[in-house]
Amino acid sequence: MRNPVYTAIAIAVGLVVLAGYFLEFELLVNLRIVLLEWATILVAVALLVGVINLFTVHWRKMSTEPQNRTNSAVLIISMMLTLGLVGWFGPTAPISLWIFNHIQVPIESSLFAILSVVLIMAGVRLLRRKPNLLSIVFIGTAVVILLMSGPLFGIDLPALADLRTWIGEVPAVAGARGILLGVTLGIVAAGLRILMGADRPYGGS
Amino acid sequence: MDNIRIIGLIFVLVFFFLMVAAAVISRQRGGRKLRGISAFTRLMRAIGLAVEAGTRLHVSLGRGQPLSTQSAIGYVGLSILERIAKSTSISDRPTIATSGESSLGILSQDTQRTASKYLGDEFDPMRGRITGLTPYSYAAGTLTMIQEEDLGANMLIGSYGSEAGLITDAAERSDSMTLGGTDNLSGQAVLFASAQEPLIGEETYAGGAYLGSGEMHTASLYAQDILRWVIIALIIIGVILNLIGVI
Amino acid sequence: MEEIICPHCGKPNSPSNKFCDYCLGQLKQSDEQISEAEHSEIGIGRDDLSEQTPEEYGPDWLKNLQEEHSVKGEEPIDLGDGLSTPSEMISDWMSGDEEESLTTEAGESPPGEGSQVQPFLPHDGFPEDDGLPDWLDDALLDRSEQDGFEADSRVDPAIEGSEQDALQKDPDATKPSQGKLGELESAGPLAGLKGALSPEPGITRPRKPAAYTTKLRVTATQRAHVDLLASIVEDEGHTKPLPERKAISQRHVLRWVITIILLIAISWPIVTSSQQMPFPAYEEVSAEVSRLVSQLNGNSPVLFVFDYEPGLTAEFDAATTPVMDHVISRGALLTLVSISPSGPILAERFMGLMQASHEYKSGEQYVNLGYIPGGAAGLVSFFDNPQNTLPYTLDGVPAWETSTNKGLPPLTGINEITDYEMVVLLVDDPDTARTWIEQLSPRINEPDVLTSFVLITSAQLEPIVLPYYDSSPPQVNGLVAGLRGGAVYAQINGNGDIVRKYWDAFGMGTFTAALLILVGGLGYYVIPELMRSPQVQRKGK
Repeated sequence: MRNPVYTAIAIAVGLVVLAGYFLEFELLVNLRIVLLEWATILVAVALLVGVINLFTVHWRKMSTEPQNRTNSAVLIISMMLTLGLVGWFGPTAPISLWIFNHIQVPIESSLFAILSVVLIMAGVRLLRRKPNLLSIVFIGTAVVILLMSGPLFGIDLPALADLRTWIGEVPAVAGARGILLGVTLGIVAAGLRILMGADRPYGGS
Repeated sequence: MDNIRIIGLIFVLVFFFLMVAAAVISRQRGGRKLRGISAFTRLMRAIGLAVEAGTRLHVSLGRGQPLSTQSAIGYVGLSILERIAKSTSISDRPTIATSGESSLGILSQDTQRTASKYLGDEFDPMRGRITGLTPYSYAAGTLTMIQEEDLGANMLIGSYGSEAGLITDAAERSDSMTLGGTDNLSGQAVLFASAQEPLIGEETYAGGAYLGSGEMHTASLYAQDILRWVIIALIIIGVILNLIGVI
Repeated sequence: MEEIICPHCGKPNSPSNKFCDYCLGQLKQSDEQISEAEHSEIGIGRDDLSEQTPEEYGPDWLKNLQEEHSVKGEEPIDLGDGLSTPSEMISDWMSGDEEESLTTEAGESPPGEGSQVQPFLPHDGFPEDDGLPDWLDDALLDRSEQDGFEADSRVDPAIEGSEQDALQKDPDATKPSQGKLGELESAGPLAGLKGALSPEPGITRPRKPAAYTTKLRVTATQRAHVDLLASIVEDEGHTKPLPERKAISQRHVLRWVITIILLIAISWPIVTSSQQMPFPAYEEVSAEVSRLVSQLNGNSPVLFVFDYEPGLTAEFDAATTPVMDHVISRGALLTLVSISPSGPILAERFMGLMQASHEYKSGEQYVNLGYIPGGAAGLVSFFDNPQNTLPYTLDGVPAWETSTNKGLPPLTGINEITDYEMVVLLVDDPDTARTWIEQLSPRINEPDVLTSFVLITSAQLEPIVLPYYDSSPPQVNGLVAGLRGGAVYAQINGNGDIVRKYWDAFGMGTFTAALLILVGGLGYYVIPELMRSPQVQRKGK
C-alpha cells in the first residue's frame, strides 16, 4: 500500500504551485517561488546522484560481467579523468576545452552522422514494412524537403520550391499543431491524475 | 489576474470535473470499450512471451526534465513500467528500465522496488539504470545495453529527440520488437519511420488506460476526447469568424 | 548332465532337483516312500496323540470312508494305537524334509497308525458295480493312459472367464483325469493316498505362472502419435540453441551500401574543393534577423543562449557564425547562458574557435554565466532575478555589481531579462524552443519593451517555430534555420566563409539522400513483389 504521507505531500505541493500560478495572492506566489527553488536544487542534486548511479552501474558491470568489462572500464576511467582535470583546472581551461573539442564533439558528431544513415535506411524500408498511403505521403514529403533544402546543383525548380515552402508553412505546421494540442491534453491529464493521487510515480510503500 | 490565466484556470477545472464525472459514470454503467491500438495489443503479447520464453523487457523513459512539460510523459512511462514490472517480476529475467535523466532514473528504481515488494520479490538496483546524462550519450549507453542483453521487446515511452533512431536501430539489429511514443515532434517522426509500433501524439498518454493502471486513466481518456472536440469546434468557429471578418 | 523328467507333468528338471519346478511334484521316491505310499492312504503321522483307536478318534466321514471304500483284498491300514502328530500328518512335500517323511519298510504300515482308511480311489479304479456312468469311466481310463499331466496351456486359473471357456471347449476338462489309478499320490495334500483324482493341471497344479506379454497392441497411427508425444516431451528438457544470426544479412548490406554512397557523395566536393553551387534566394525570416542586428548600437547588451547538443556543432557553427560576426561587428557586449549542461562549454568553445579574429575577451566583451538549473522553473527565476540565479561566471568570478564588486561590463545595467536589447536563442530541441518562447514572449511583448527575440535553430525546427514568427503579435522576431538559413544570412551580409565550405557537400548529401530514399524505397518494395512466384501471389489474393 502506498504511503499516504508521500501522496499528501505531492498533492499539497502540486496544488500550491498550480494555485500560485493562476491566483495572484502574495502568499501563494511566494510559496510557489520557494517550492520551485527547492525543486530546482533537488534537480541539481539529482544530477549528481545520476552521475553516481552511472558510476556504480558500470563498476558493478566490471565486477560481474567479464565479457563487457572493457566498455565499462573505459567509461569509468574517462569519467574520473575528466572529473579530475575539469574540476582541478576549471571548465574554461585549455585542457578542458581540448577534451571537449577532441573527444566529445567528434563522438557526438559521429553519432549524428550514423543517425543520418539510420534514418535513410528507415526511409528505404518504410514502404515495405508499412505499405499504405501514409507511408507514401511520408516518403514523398521527405524527398521534396530534402531536394529543395539543398542547392540542387543550381537547378531552379520554382514549382518544387513553392511546394517545399507550402509544405513547411501549411501541412507541417498544421500537423505539428494538432499533435501538440493532443500532447498538451495528455500532459494536463497526467498532471491532474498526479494531483488527484490516482497516479503515484513516486513509489513508496 | 489576466484573461489568459482565467481561461487557463477554467480549462483546468473543467478538465478535472470531466475526469471525475467520467470516473463516476463508468463505475455505475461499466467501462466503455476503448478503440484498439495495435501497439498495446502487441505489448501485452510481448509481456506474456517474455515470461514464457525468459526474455527480458526493456522500458526506456527518455530524458524529460522533471520541471518541464516533458516530465508528464515520463510519468506515463513510469506507470507503464509499474504495470510491466508487476507482470514480469515472476520471470527469470525481470524488466530493465533506462533513463537519460537523473530524477527519472531514481523514480524508475523506486517504481521497480515497489513492484518487487508488492510481489515479495528481491529488488536489484541494476534494474533501473541511468545510461547517460545528455541525449546522445543516453542513446549511446542504451544501445550498448540493448546489444548486451537478450531483450524480447523495447518500450520507448518518454521524451526523445531524433536520437531515438539510434536506439530503434540497435533494437532492430538485436531482433527485438520496438514500441515507441514521445511528446517530441522530431522524435515522433523518427519513431514513425523506424519503430515497429509507433505511438502518435497522445496515444502514448493513453498507455496507462490500455494497460489497466486504474479507472482514472480511462476516465481521463474520456475527458480528453470531449475536450478535443470542444477545441476542434472552437477552432472551426474561430476560422469562420475570421473569414467573415468578425475577429 | 542328464535331466530328470517329472513323472507327473513330464517337464524336464535339473538332476539335483528333488521336486519339480513346474508342478512341485516329487521327482524321486525312495523305496520306503514307495512302500509308504502304497500302504498309507492319508499319510497320518506317527505321533502318539492318544490311545484312542481310529474308530474312536476321528470324524464320522473318516469312519464312513473306511466302511464304504474298503478295497477287496485289502485290509484297512491299521493306524495303530498311536496316531501320528499333525506334523507327521503333513506330507513330505509340505514339510520339505525327506527324512521326516513317513518312511517305513516296504509293506509295513507306519507305527502308531490306527485303523486303516480306505483310499479315496481304488488303485484299479472304481469297481464296476459302483454305478458310475460310462463317460466317466471312459474318461478315467483315457486319462490314465496319458503320460503324466502336461502343463495346461489352455487354462490359467488366474484368467477369469477363460476357465469357463476352456471347460466349454473341452468337456474332458470337467472329467477327473484318471491318472494312474491305484497309485499312491506323492504330492500335494493328498500325498500318500491311493487312487486320488488328479487335479486339472492347469487349475490346481501349482506351477510357474505363464509369462504374458505386457506389450499393448497398437496401430501404426497410435505409434506415430506416441512417437510425436515422446519427442515433444523429450524436447522440453533440452534447450535448443538459438538460430545463429547471419553475420552478413540483407540489412548489413543495405546499411553499408547507403553509407558508402553517402560518403562518396559528400566527400567529393570536399576533396575537389568545389564551391560552385549557388546560395539560396532571399528569405524574409532570415532577413528580419539581419535588420534587427543592424539596429544594435555599440555596447548594446545581447544575450546569447547556447542550448544545442554537441553533435550539431557543425550545423550551428555554420548557421551562427554569420550572425555572431554581424553582432560583434556592431560592438555589442555578450552574455552567454544555457539551460543544458553542455551549453556553457559549447559557448566557450564557440567563442574561442570562431571569434579568435575579433579578439573578444572573457570578462570584458563577453561573460559566460554558465548553466541555469531547473529547466523552465530556473528560466523564470533567471528572467525575474538573474543576479540571484547566476551570481558567478563560469570561472567562479563574481559577475554582478554589488556594494563591494564593480561588476563586469557586459552585465552593467542588467536587472532583468527585458534589459537586454536582443536575445538570441540557439536551440535544436523543439521543447526547449517552446519553453523559451512561451516564457519570454509575454514579457517582451509588453508595451515599452524593446527587446527583440530571434532564433537560430536546426533545420528540423523550422516548421515548429515558424507559427510563432507568423503570429500576431509575433512571438519570435526572426529565424535562421539550419545551414540554409545561415547561407541566406551570409548572402545578405557577405560573411559566409564557413557556410561556403559546407554548402556544396550539403547539396550533394541532401540530393543523394533523397535519391536513395526514393529509388531504394521503391526498389525495396517492388523487386521482392516481382520476384514472388505467381502461385504465391495467387495464394496471397
